[in-house]
Amino acid sequence: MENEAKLARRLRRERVRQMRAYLWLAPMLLLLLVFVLRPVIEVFRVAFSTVTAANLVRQFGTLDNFRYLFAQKEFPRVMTNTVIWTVAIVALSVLLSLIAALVLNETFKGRAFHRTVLLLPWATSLLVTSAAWKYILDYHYGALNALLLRLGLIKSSINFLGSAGSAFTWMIVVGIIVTIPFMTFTLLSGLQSISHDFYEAAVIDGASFWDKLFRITLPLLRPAINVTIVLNVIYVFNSFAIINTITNGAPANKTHTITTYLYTLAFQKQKYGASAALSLVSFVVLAVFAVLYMRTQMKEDNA
Amino acid sequence: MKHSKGYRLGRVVLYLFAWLMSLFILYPYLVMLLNSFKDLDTMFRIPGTLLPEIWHWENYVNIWKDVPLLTYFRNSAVVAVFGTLLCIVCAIPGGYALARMQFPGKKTLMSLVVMTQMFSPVVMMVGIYRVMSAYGLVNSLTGIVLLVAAFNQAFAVWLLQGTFATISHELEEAARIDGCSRLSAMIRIVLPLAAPGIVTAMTFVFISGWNEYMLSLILIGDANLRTINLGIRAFFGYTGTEWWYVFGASILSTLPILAFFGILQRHLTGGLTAGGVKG
Repeated sequence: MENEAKLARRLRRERVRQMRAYLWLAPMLLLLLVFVLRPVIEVFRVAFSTVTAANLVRQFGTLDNFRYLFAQKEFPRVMTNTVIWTVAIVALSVLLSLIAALVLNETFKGRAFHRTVLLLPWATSLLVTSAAWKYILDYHYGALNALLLRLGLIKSSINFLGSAGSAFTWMIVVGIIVTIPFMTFTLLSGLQSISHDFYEAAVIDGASFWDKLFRITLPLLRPAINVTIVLNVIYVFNSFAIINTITNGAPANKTHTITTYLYTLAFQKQKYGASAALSLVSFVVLAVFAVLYMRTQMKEDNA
Repeated sequence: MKHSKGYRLGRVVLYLFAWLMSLFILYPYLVMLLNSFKDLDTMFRIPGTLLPEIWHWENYVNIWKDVPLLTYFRNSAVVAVFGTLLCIVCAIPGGYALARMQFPGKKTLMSLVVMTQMFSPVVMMVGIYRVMSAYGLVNSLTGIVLLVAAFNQAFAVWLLQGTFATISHELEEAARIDGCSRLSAMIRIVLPLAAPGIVTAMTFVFISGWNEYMLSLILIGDANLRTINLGIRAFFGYTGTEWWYVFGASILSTLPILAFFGILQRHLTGGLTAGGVKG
């Protein structure tokens, strides 16, 4: 009896001692709670409230914001654009980055130069890169038209940003170009961690280049590719500066994704409630992605 | 040694791909650089021009006189420097506790840290704007500093937690037996060993602070508080874009980070890739 009481007391004391860890965690927790979690909660509150144009919350417990949002004629387009944007950029970037990583993993003349070039985009904000591309793609005095005309590839200037389809495609190209560097570095580090022994054994067995690629490199690179895909789906989904700078949805709100449309709703139309409702929609989309991803992961692990 | 036809074809493809990729990445920089030396007439000629007819080096002198570029740079530096310091000061004890201590709720906390990484500030801009209004931090660089520190916190904590976990306990325990407190053992023994991880984390927070755009776009209205990115954005007026300032300012805005990179390049790729794969 006495022993048990002693043990319980000791356990409690240990608990109290352990709670001291929270002193160490306090600064981090404070930042996260006050500046990350509180805005998340606020988004929920605003989404279900009546909000005036002056951003005052009037009444909680309404679905009006969602009704307004779903009634917008551009809404379906915003959603499909977001899916196309994310899938196209991530899929094509993974493919190209994989090739780039394989290339940069070889020894060849100029490799150091190409690796340095790949670092350059980190030094530049997405706003600056997007501004440059906005000028490059300009119909009248744009650099790309000037280049193609000079090379004789086209007879007259092309209006790259004139139609929604063409503008969106070009912004996807810009998205791919800014996504490749980070992806390539992640995949390159994955490649470098594959032991040479595998390849030496394969060569002895008379394996061809393709055998090595599909039987050794890609399977062993799988974890790195998975991490890259997850991270970049989140990054690309949240991408803002490219579309906000180059078209900001033009023409006729046809080139928005969720993020740029969020901004337009809140800060150009003063529809804060609808914007918060769209934030919740985007949380749901990301959650669905997370569930789908975990499912496929589990299936793979079982297989 | 004679190479097979397949091998030689492979090499050609390899060179071609490497150069094409570099060309696509470098192209916008080349356009910015060339255009920053043009005069207005050449810049807006239809159809467009590739090279400046006359190289106007004085563009880079005039921009400092015409535009409050120095203020923009100062504001960006405030955001990047103080955002980084605040972020790292909070992340070091947090990362240390997660790596070294056992406490109730640890698992929940770990997943919370990972989850906050999924919440980009972009998708909650209305919430951020309203909360910052309530705190009285709209139109204030302090507000941006706090947000930069907060939204990079999860990443920094995660990276540092990984770094601390790789450092052996023994030295630290020896120091504590010698009468060091936990805090001073951490500062004297663990931090110096964790320096590479700390520098990597700080570099990435610094870059994200310097390049920060969306938060200041929604929170800063005062022209005196514009960061370099907001300054560049302001050249996109209603009547047309003042491209001649955009290019000069863009090139100048990348220089501090490039200089930073020059010093840290080797170190950075190592640290980043380690974090990237573990992440």
